[in-house]
Amino acid sequence: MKKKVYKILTKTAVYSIFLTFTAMTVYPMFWLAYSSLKTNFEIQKNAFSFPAALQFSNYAFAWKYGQMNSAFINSTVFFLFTIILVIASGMMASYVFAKMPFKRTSKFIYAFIGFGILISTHSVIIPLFILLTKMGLTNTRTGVILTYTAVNLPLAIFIGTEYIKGLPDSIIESAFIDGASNFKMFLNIILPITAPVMVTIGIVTGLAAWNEFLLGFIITGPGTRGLPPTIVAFANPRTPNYHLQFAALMISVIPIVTLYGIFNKRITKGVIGGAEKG
Amino acid sequence: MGIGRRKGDLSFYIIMVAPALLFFIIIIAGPIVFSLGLSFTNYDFKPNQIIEFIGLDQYIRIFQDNKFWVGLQNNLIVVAVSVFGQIPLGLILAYLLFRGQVRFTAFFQAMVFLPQVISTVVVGILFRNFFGIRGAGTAIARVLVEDPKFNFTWFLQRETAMVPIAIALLWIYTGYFMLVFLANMQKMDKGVLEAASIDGANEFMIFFRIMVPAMAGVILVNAILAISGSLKGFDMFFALAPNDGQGLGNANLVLPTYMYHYAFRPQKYAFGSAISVIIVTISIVFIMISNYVGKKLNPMRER
Amino acid sequence: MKKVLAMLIIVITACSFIFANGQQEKNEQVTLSFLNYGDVTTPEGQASLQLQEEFEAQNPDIKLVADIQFDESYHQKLAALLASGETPDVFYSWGSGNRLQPVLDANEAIDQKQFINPENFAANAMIGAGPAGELYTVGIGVGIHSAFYANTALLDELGLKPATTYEELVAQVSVIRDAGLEVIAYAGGTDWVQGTCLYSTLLGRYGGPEFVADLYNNKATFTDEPSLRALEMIERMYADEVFNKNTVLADYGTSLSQYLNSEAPYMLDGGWRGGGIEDPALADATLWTVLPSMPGEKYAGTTNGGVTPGYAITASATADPAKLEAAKKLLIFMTGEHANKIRAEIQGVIPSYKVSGEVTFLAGTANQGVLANSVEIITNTLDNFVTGDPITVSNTVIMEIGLGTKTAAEAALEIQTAFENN
Repeated sequence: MKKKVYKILTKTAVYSIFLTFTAMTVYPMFWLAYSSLKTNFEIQKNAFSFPAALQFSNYAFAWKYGQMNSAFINSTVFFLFTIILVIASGMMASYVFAKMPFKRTSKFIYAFIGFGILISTHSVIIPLFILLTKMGLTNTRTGVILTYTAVNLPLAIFIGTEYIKGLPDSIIESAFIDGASNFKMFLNIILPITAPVMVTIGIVTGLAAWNEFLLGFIITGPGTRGLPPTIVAFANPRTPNYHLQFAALMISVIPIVTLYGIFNKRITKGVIGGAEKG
Repeated sequence: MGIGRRKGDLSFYIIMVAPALLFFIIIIAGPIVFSLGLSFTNYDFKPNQIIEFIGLDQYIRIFQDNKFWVGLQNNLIVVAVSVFGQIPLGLILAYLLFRGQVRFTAFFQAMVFLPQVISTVVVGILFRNFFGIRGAGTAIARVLVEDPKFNFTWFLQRETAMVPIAIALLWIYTGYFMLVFLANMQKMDKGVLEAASIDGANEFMIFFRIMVPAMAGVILVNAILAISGSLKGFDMFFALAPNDGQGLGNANLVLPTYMYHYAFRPQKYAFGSAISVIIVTISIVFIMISNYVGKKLNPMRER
Repeated sequence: MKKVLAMLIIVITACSFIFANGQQEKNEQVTLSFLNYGDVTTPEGQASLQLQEEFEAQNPDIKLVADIQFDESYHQKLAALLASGETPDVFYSWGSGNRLQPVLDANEAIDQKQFINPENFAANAMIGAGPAGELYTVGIGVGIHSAFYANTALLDELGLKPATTYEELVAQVSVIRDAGLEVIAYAGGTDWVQGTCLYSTLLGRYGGPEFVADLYNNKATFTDEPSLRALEMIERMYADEVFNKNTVLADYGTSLSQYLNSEAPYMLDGGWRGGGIEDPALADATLWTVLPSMPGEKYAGTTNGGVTPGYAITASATADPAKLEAAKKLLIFMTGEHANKIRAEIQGVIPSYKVSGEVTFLAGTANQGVLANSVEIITNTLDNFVTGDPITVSNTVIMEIGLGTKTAAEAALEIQTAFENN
């Protein structure tokens, strides 16, 4: 009997903790969502109140004047191309580090690139900006894509190499026995098997590319700027146009949250997969 | 491990590694080395400027600057919050979820992980507003302390200026760590836990004596991740703290924003390069220390 | 199948290069790059954008590559463009001080008088800050940088009249605070506001119109009487509860929000801010005046200001004659009669151009023109002359005075040291 009471108490306690935690996590976003549909006056009058009428015009205004159209397109372009380039070059290098001979060289290059996980964008901003300018790549999408690719490669290679290391050598060797060349073996055997880790890398890289701010601002100009820098410029605290700021934030958040809602399990697994090895 | 050597392996190797290596060298490694070199000069890319090598002068300037030390201190606070806040909290939550036999785990997981997918810059702006005078956070506090004029004053003092930042960090990252730990716990051998339960051990004992040691490796890796992450953060600080991340009276500076405001913006590029070098060095030192500590605490760690 | 996949990857990669570089066109147009300024969420910013678009429509032979940025983002962008050598042909420029320095350093600042007809502009807008009198920007307006706004309706409710002396103001503090309001809506927490508004006005009151120039030319120091008195006055305003910790917490958006919501009967902000009072009733009730008279001041009734920034052509743009012609057209358009009239209407900017005929001012902003005319002496704002570190330091130490972590004397010394080391 006591055990049953104990069980119920603990269950209640655990549920409460989680509900509280969930509430604390979700509430700010919920507040942002409904506040973005209030008028500026309503927002300043009472933080809790719900909108009297839904002000979708906030969104229309933010979209038009915040140049969200081009921001969205740019962010999507960065997202897609970065993912493709990172997966392609990343998997190529990962396979080689994991399975090929020349182990000492591999170790060295692997550590060299792994060092890149430590480096964040702001450490390279000054020289990178100057370099890109000399190469004529500022204010181009190419420059951004190349930069995002380079920045996301170290982690991708880390994840990829660890994964491939875990594959049995036998599948490769049997492919060789069947007469496959290195390339054929890579394309026909390795790539299909590594589909899961490619998804993981894709998710991690994609999120990073979509949400990146600093580089995306420094090396771009009108027409090539992605969502985060555009949102920041729009939602500055210089004027108290809260209704517009909130609408702009929502515009940037809705797509990714929607995707998350649909592909939740996939995305979660992907991001965690990156750090699961212990 | 690995396969035997074959003909044509060398050219294959080179072709496969070349793209990634090129990307990395041109965009990351090259600029870093360039930064290192630049930090020993006074060259700010002004037109008609003559490059002079001034040795360690930039570094001396940095170490004599009070703001650098404020930034470093704040970074350490961030590291502490990450390692001693997010990780234990994530671990405990994961354990509760794992052992608590609650339903709807998928729902809870989805909810606490949500902050991860949002841009940190958006989070910064969200919290700046949430705890601002028109925000719900302030409104809730006003109800709780029964003072309709209450405002959060944490930015006013050095001692409390980093609190809102700590809150935002916990909000974003705790869920991530919780899920990482949960995933690892689910991979554990259930037998050990059941045996302990049968032996009459209570949850606390199981947690501290069995779970934590079992998770030691994961904890270490994630601590390293947390540390290197906390030295990199820029976006959120920039968006959340007053004056674009500086705070009031520079109370909220962290090294990256210090570099941005006092080197990049006033175009003191050589000075900024030196700061970047210092940041990277500190990261490396931290990681080496955590690695060392990890090995000491867990000498029988595999691999 | 795998081969196809590999080919696809290569093709897509190649396409990305082509796609990304597809920005350039080859045709007969002259390409003009233009860095404009404005916050497009506000009418002012939209007006700037609108003028830009009008110019484009009227000049099909000029391809305008324009960007419009605001505040921090703007300065960031300009610095980046200058550093990389991608100088804009025409840009929104300050005439002197901190904001002009990067352009001067890049040798891109040139005398604009050669591109316009100075007769068409107000005299004080044509005074150049360069060593030989070079005019570095064609200012688009005359501005007051510190205006003291009083909400007479709110004061009436409290049984008060707008304070004209500091003593009166202090007497009002308890009444106002008891009613649960702030005294002066002021952005004590935003760095640049300290120097541009409060400090400069007080420098003018205690040191007169020449003082800022003297500071710049080393004929006076920040630890001299006028500057020290100014800082002490700031200290005192916090001690007397005219300002308090909520003031230091208020950022630039918050202060306006407080005034608009009748949470403070007074506001201290630039003359440009008056245009943000969109509620007609409040606009009507707002009295535009200057800071109350301060104890021990030498120059009563002054406030600080200057010619507003404007537009300028860069040195680089003069290399190509066709481009220079286009740039001149843009410059004259953006600073000419039509543009000035629009700005007066939408933004309430007092024209620097001698506009013929009636000028309609934005409702409630005719006041700025009236105020500017009523002030006998407009003193200089600190960063009209002084640039760089000393400005950063002065802004920071004033906030620290507000936080209570620095005394006026310490602050003065720190600014002077920064100035000497600059």
